Amino acid sequence: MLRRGLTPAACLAACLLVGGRARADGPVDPSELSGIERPATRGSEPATAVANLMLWPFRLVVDLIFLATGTAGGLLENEQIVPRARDFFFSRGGELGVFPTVFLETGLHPSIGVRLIASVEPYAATVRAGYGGPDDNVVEYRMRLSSRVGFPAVMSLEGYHDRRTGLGYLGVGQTPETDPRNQFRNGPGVGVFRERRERIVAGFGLRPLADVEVLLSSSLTQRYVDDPLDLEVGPTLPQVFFPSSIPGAFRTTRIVYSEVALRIDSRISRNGVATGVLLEGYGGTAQGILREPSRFMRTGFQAAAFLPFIRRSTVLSPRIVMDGLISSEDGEVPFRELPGQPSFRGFDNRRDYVSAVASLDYRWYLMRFLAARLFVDVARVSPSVSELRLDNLRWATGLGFDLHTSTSELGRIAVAGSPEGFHFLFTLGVPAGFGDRQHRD
Amino acid sequence: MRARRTFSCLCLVLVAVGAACAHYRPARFAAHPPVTDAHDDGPIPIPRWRWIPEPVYLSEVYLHRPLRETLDLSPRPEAADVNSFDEVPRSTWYAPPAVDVGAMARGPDSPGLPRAPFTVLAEPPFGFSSGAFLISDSRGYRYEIAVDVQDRPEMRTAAAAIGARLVWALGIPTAPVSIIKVNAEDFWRSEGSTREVAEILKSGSPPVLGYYRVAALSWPPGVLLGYAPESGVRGDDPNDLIPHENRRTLRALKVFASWMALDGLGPAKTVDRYVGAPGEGHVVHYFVGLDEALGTSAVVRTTDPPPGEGGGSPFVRLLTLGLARNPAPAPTQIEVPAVGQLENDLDPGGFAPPLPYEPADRLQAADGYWAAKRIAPLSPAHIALAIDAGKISDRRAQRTIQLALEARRKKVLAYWFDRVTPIELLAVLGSKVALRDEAVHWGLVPPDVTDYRIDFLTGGGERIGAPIVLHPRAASVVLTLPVASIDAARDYLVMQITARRGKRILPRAFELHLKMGGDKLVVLGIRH
Repeated sequence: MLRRGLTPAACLAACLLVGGRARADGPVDPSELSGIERPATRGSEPATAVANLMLWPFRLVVDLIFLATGTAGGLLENEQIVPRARDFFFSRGGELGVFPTVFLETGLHPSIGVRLIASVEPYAATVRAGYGGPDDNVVEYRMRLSSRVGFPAVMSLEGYHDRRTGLGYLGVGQTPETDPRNQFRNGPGVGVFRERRERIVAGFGLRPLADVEVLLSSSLTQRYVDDPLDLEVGPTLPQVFFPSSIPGAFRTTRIVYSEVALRIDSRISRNGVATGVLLEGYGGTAQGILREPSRFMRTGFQAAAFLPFIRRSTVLSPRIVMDGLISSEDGEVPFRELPGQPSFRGFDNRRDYVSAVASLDYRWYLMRFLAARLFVDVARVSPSVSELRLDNLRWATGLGFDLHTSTSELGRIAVAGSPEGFHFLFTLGVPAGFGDRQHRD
Repeated sequence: MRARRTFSCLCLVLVAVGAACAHYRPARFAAHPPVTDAHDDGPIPIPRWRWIPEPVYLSEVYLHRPLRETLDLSPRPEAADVNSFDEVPRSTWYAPPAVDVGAMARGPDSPGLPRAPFTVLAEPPFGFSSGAFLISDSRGYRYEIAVDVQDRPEMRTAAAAIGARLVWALGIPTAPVSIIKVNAEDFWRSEGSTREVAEILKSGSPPVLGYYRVAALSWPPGVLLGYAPESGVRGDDPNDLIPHENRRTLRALKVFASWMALDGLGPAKTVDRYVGAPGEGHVVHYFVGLDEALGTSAVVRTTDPPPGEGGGSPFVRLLTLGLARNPAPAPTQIEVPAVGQLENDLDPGGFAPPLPYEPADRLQAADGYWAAKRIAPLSPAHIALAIDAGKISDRRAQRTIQLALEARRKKVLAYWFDRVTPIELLAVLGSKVALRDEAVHWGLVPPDVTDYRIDFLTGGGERIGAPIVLHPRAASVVLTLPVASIDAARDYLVMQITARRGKRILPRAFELHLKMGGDKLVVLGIRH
């Protein structure tokens, strides 16, 4: 008679097949467990296998990007690691990890790199390096010491070096081709250049209240702009502009900049459809050192509201971002220090003393941890606040998807269209909390 | 021109390869007994703590995995923790008890109820979904304590105890849960603990005669290792050889969860614990969070705000900008507060965890059938005894849960027994093979509506003679093998049985692999 709870087959196995597997030293190997010495095959399998083989490099790239660069890299900012990667690349105690990386350390050009992370509470450090050629490389380190005595505080020290080539400069102003400050040699054009940049940032962040952050930071930035090695990519800066209209080019600029920023963010989280208000203001002074004559001040603000619209999960968020640079009377400002427009989702290729970007986003809940976004941005630069006009506005509009956790944003993918063309935006990783303002440019 | 020629050649090769192999060749089983114990409990050093941060999990399940699977054309692999008889051998993931009625009433071995005074520990709780704390009783045994929700006395604690008893009966390791009465004076805090026990007790349902009803989950002595990864293996556990997404025991959790109306299936529901002295123990994998069973986490209250999101599927929401109408769901009944949102009706095929869970996503028909076979032997008496473990004072609640679990059991069995040809081998006697249709056996299908087509194949997949068609009038049938098939069995014989119920042919055939061993037939393998 069969016992309840045991299947007939199990009983049969127990009755007919005596012996079974004797206790071995280790677990039963999966191939032995199944008892299958030759798996079943179906007609379509060889064709599938060949097709799969052809897709293998793409799968490998996806795996590498996510395991080594994408997820891990983005999450390194918060010292969080993909578990599988952790098994491969971390020391047994999990305090030290090393990741090989491809592509994303220096941009979209093929490159190889490595990331190293050390994390021993409350201290954390990351080092990343990527090499895609003599003019396409990056090295960065970040050290953090966090404290929760009284209220959250973070001290950080960061170092950065990169070399990029193929960068373009249109000149200053909203319409560089007609702006009299630009002195073109042969008519308007894009001057191509390369840049070497080194930066050290020391920061201190404090969250005295749940919604309030105070950020103090000081940086030393050194830049050197010259012609790219590959002259076929386009006309160089001196081929497009007279040198007097591109201050800061072909010499090393060294600028010390100190800033205080205040941020009030009433959203309970930074996830997809949280409502609240974000206000941020900053001001800082910059001083050239070692024969660098530049002296200027930076100031600006960002104001955004995240308003429930019809439903709790549909949020309308108008935002305005203004950045300004005030130069001393006699000091020239290197063109790479002029405010750009990193918050504009079209092409960020205008620079001037004042920049304003206004945007309107509509975000709505699609499914758990995924929100959609429609947006429109308008952007304007001008020599001064009084000269800000509504004419010649540049605009960009698009659709995107935001992946978020219950507390923070995790990734964003969007397509933006503008009269200049289409722009694909992709970010992945938890944005840093404290001290991220100086990294925007 | 050259590229075109290369492409044409490649297409021709593909077509030729496909044509050359355009027939089914069955698997071949080795001639040795089925493995009945995976022996994955060998001594190992204590593995390290494992935690899956939410951002990492979400990026993995929503970005990396979909992208990778799109680029992978190979079929999803069948479960890898299955022996030659299509059964899951005993392991640290699966430990089926002998579930007679007495055993069901007694439940699993445990140190019994916790004994006061209790020391509240600082360590985080893992056995319940939320609102719990860890204690050590006067004997040093560790328990997790959870309270009821305020407006639903007995609901959550009862669900935890009933769910634990049912899961244990299904063979999935879980920590036993018992119901006890406590008061705030029974607890004192250890150094480092910040849990305000009095406040937690007050946050639950009101006390009766000064005593609060709580659920106590008993952890065996050992070291908590965090969540079991949903994919891959624990790299630092030499016993862990089978990728978790390919474990039938984990895939089957989706079926068990659908039966028990368990919400939140995911990595947080599987907790690893090192059991034994350091260096001499091994990892046991526990299924936890059963306080979310029986629809307790899906209760809709009249005070709940209307849905914040737009109605429809994600695609509809995308098109309607999230503004489509989305009426509020009907509130859960309040006449029997000990019962959550537990419906008698259920769509086992449509049931899905709230977040992608890779083992559940890889559930195949054979895995679902195996899971349904685990549920089938749990009779109304077994269910009643499990409900008894919940110590529900309201007899209406007991009755409601009993009826719901029985009705849902029938739905789950009917669905999964319909995804394969649900035949089990009873015996092989000489040249006769005794088989049983489980769907008929458990009363889900009338006995005389099914035809069985039996094909005999060689090990290479060639047919032997004409197929036999049977139309039995009972659950069991005895088939005498044709002489030609017995001759073929001297090398290797595959009996392939496909059922047709009315006009519908069941999707997967049952395969019985046989070989002559001396003068009698020996069963080498079974697949559903």
